[in-house]
Amino acid sequence: MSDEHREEHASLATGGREPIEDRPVPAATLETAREGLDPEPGTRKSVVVIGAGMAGLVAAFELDRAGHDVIVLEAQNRVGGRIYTCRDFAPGLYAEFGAMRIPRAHDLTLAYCDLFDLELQPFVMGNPHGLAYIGGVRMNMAEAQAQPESLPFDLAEHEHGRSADDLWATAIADIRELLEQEGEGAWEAIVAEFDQYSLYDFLKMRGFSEGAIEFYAVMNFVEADMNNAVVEVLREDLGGAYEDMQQIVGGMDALPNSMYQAVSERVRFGAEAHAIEQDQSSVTIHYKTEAGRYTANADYAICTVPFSVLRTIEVLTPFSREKQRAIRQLNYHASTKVLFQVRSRFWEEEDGIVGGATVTDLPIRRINYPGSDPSTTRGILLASYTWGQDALQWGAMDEETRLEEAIQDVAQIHPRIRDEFEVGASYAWYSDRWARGAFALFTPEQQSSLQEAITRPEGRIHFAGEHCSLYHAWIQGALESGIRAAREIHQAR
Amino acid sequence: MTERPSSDPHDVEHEAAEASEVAPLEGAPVPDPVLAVPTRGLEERPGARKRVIVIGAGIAGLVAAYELKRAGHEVVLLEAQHRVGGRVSTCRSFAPGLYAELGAMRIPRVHELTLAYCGVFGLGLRPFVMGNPKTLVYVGGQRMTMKDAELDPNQLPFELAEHERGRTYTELWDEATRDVVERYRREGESALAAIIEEYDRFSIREFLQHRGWSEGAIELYGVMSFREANMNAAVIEQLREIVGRAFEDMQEIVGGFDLLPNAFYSHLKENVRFGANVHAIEQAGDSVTVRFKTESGRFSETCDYAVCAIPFSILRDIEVTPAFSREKQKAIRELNYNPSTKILFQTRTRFWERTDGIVGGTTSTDLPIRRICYPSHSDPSEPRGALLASYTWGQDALRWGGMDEETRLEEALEDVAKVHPEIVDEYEVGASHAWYNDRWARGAFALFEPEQETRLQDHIVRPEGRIRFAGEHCSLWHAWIQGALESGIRAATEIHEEPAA
Repeated sequence: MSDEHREEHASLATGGREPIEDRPVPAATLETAREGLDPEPGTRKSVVVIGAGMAGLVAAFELDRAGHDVIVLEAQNRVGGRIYTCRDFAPGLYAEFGAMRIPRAHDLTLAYCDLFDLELQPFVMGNPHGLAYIGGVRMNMAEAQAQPESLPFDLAEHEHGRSADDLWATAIADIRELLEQEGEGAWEAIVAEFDQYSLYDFLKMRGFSEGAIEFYAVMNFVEADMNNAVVEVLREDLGGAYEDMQQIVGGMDALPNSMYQAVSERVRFGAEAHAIEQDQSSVTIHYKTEAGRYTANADYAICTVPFSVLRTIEVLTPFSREKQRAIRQLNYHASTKVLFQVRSRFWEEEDGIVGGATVTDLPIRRINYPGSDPSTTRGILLASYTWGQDALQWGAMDEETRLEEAIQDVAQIHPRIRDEFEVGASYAWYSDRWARGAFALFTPEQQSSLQEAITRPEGRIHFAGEHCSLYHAWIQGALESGIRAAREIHQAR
Repeated sequence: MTERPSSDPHDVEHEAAEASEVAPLEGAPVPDPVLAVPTRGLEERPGARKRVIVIGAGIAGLVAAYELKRAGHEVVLLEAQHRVGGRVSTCRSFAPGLYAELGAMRIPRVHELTLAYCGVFGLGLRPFVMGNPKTLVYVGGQRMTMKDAELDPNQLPFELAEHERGRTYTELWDEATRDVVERYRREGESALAAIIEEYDRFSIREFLQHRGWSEGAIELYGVMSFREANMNAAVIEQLREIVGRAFEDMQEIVGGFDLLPNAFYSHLKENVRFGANVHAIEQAGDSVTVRFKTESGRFSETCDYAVCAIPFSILRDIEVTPAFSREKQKAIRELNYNPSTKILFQTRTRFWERTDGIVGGTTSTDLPIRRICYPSHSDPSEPRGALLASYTWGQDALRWGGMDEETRLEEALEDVAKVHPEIVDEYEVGASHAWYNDRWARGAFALFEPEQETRLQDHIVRPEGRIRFAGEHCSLWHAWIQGALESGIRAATEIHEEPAA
């Protein structure tokens, strides 16, 4: 912290902004999963929810449970939004285009899984048998961790022999310590101090050499994310977002589908909201279907569509300038996934890999392996999972080219893929017209300058979705914000 | 009615601020020997005739092939698409005779190398209007002329700090950059290195904050300069633009920008192989082999040298044996590409000339379309017009890219109708191009993030064995034709000057 570069850089900061607090889910919200919203003597309200992703579903589910009159407008033919289980494979096989794991720390998500009796199984993160394929050199993760110098990065002398994890742990040790001493309240100070920095700035000011920054970036799949806000990374890392991961047996879509079952009569599919207006006493949503143009009128509305999609919905009674600015400016990140169905999970026998990931500097960036399944020899490999401009570059190819290029990359690491590959599927979230981005990801200072305006209601319209939480990209953020919006309306007088 | 873009000093100020396309690269002018190339060709050398493969028939590949061929070398030019020009792409899917640009659309007067090639090929130029006081500002639902917005900036709904009130964003920007400009004027080219060293680590946003701008002033600048989605990119790209003064006195090619690549092509017809998708590059001690696919099979060409004139975003997927240096690989992986999307409308009449007296120039808005550019040339024999209904960068552009063409046109119509209700009646057909979704571009142009220039630039341009690199990303004129030309000539010169194989 005494690094002179940092101080110099820090002098750019301007003061006077209210930092946003960052805390785990409040007890009352957590309780909602089990008990529903607190009983209120208030009147029954009618509510239109725009979007049947996780945020929209949970808001509708809880409002419905609490006795309100809800309708959900969903533009697509399915629910779940960015939870999207792909089943275009041999019977019984599936894999995730969208959300694929739940950290143990995400108690709210786990509470809803529990409510709907969804079975969980471990999602393997670190696996020493996973591979590192960098600069054309192939080794397993155990070797890479034990002998980081065998990886082709130009480290400074004091960094030699240290793993990327080890370097990172040192870089954030003081912040971790602060949190341990002061608890969640420390986030305010952490955000106030670090929100101005990109991940690149942060590592540099913590004394990382150019080679160590590259090392960290490649090993953590974030080489295309280095210009984004470091607070996003700190929050995830220090919030245990990558520890003890779970997945839903049968596919993640079991969660939205379960919620849908409870409100199925409230959902209108194929309904594209194109305009929103409100007056003192009601909200009107104008929407189109293939059959015509309609309106839905209600006491309140919850807007759960991403800001990137909201941007082209006409708001006839304009939002506040601050909200408009947040909608225009909030940064959305790209992500692309490429899935392969293979005849056999050859990597289990060949490399002893069951679950976990391979890291590479090839365009595919990482391979995620499925868990073992004794009922079938087949498997679905997440052949590539990319972020940022890596993901945009995959998005620019047609599906055929994408699969072809991914096979070439995977074959450098696993030559047997050519024999074992059967069919593939892929999804580029920035090219999805109903998502227009994979998830919100702050650029430096966006948390300080936008977060308050992102979440605040506009008259009778409330906002939810991962982008309206501080759990960007996670199901937990969609749930937490959906419950918040539902409660705001439930409690409104 | 048909007003010429005035030479009003007010316009110059606006131009300076509107800051045109992305940065012109170097305040540094093109060196004399390079500038002599369009007219005289590469310097005569007694060296041996070399066989050269050029990958990509965009402007960089074309100029490299053209100059190498002129100097007596044997050239093969591989192009994956059915056309030449790359990100110079003139759309003619309109009524007969109408056209507009999906890619590059203007040439600053100081881009002398570009103008020199236009001269060599006898291409007609005419003014491309930048600043026009009659164009509109449509922000926060309010509509006013640019002139009114500049006369009374307080009408715009931005929350400025007290010391910023009543000042235009161009005044604020000029003041924020004055010391940089003065330093450059005082010290000349040598100041540039120091300016880069000092500012390369800052994003535009950080730079403005550093200069004491309020959040409202930053928003004002972001919206009025169309850069709200690029505020996290390196400020140095913009500082270079100011000292380079590359936004003054813009020109356009009469008949469409594709006339320039097509003119190069007319001298290279038998050298170009279309539909050739390069998938691997191999080099040995004394040769380079380029492997490519066409619809009819797999082929290869072997030669003494290769010029790689495709974007790094494309090169990333080409298999290279032996691998490039680690530094080059890193530059290829990391160099940031910016998205851009353009939406064009064919209209029955150029009604904006009638209703608002607008001939050329740009309307600024906070609507998703961000800006409307009006045709600079008012042709009395042609009632119709091709309007650039939206031109966006960064995530603004990606969002338009995320829609199918039909939705894109529909949404753009809704936006334009707020500024010009007449459009509903006047609109005939539309076309659009999202450059990040173009599989042969995968991005509109290179745009540095903070520190990328310092960390990557040397590695971006340096040769790897017998392979040379060209394209706007290999110059410091990112996004400009000039950068493609300058780097193409550099690559050609490097090969030309190599001793015999």
